[in-house]
Amino acid sequence: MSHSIDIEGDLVTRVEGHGEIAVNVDDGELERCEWQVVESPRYFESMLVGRSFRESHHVTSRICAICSVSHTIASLQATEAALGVTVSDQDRLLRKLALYGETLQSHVLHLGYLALPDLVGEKSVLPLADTHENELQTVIDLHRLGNELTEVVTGRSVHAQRLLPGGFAQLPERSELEALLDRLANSWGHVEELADLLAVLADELPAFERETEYISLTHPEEYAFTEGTIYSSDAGEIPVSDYRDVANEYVVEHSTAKFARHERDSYMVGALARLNNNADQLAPRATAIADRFGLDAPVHNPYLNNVAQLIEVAHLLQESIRIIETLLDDGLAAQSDYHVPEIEPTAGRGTGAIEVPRGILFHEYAYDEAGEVTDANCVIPTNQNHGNIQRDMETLVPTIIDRPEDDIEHTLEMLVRAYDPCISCSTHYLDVEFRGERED
Amino acid sequence: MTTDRAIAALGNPYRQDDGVGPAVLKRLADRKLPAVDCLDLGDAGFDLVHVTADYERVVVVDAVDFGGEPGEVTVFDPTEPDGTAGGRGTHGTDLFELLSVATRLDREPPAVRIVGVQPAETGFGEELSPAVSRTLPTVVETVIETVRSR
Repeated sequence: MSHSIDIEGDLVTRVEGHGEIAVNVDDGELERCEWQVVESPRYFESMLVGRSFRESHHVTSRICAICSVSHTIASLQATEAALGVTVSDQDRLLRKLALYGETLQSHVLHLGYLALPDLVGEKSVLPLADTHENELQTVIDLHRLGNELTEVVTGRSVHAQRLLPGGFAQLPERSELEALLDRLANSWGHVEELADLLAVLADELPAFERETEYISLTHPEEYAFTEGTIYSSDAGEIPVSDYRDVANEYVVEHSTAKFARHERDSYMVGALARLNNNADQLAPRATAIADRFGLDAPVHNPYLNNVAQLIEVAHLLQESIRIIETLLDDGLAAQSDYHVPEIEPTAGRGTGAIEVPRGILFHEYAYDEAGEVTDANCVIPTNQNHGNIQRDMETLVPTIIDRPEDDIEHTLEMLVRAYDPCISCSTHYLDVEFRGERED
Repeated sequence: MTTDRAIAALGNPYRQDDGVGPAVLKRLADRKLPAVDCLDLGDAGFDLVHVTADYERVVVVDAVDFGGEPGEVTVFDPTEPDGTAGGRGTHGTDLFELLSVATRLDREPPAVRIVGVQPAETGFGEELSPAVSRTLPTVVETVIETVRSR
């Protein structure tokens, strides 16, 4: 059946920020298929210039509320690398715990609030308060648990105040960690409920596959989040210092955000990329969920990023328990409250690279002798995925071209949502300069 | 959580008038309101679900585009049928939808009011626009009055 389709720049709902899908089919022939990012620029990198090394991480924490701790930690890593500041093993563990809490709440928020309505055939989460009350309450409880994890370590669930170059201004109380440990250990039922729900609905995820390059951090001893080297499924290990060679950012006409490519014309970052590159390092409870869903890395269906997030929820919970037990066994090293490490600034340049909910995040700063930022570069996961979403759409649309227009549109929206894009988070936008005549 | 009432500010202080919520919270810190918790949620709108579960009365202060004059202040009751008409917070997550989900799930839903300030500018910058800056004392008083009312 040949027909015409005109999906023209409809805003994709239930994602953070503004992106649009445009598809034109004329008499059965695909003429245009575009993932258009229409968010306005945010200029955080320019805002960093002239800031002291003591405040740059506070500024970048405001890039995004869903992943504010992620930006804070990447920012601190860049600052510490530039100024030659070391961080103790204990404080590195605490940072990891804060990041795990944030990633846990972000994954749960995406699965329960943004993706679940697709799987039960609703346009928003609102009707689920009546039809899936218990499941929604489970999502809210798990989200709160992630927040509490971050709050105990950083003092707040969003826009952390205790993290600072070289360590922490204040450490959590032992009693707080013990109470948290109890809550984490008693939350496996919630994870099982979420897995049960997704297992029932997993058939609603389209069976679309397109192999691509998967990029994440990797670490010889753990499923990498806060430390490691870059790993490409095509090219192997790459030093973090070469991150600009990985995220080759480029400009497309239909987007205000930069796209990225490495070995191929696009690559994927995020939970599925991490799982594909590091699956054998997942915690046992996470591996059990992967087995239950039949996920055997490498997985080439981008819609299964949703399942990869669920698997990581189990991993993060199990690893958080292990880390807190370690901290309690070892005892927290004494320091005064509102402790500020002594740092003598020196001129230098450094890069931070961590895995955050939506994929690998890079911050790179240059500082002058006074410890003020002279140059900043932040490469956000969502920017790195834009090109892959575009290529997925180009491959997927011809295979579903005979379906009704609203079916195609819904399938493409689900694809975009599967990546859990945080479009408003993408700081790295074009300096738009139009040359010559424009049609509009 | 030390009391049954909370003021929750939403907004980003690096986005001009979007930061009116945190700006109000700073001024409230000087007032040291008894028996009220003041919470800076940044742009993490979803956390309101937890705040409404924890408190009996919640006042949200946020930049809301309700089609008013820049700096105009309006108090919304999100449970009233026309309480959300034309009004949407300036964040990606739908503030009113979130509050609706939260109150539907809550066995004893709290009284929630939104003190909305019509923004003039939400671009890059740390300064509030003159219109919103001028109205800040009024917003602070409105928030205090709303959180204290029964």
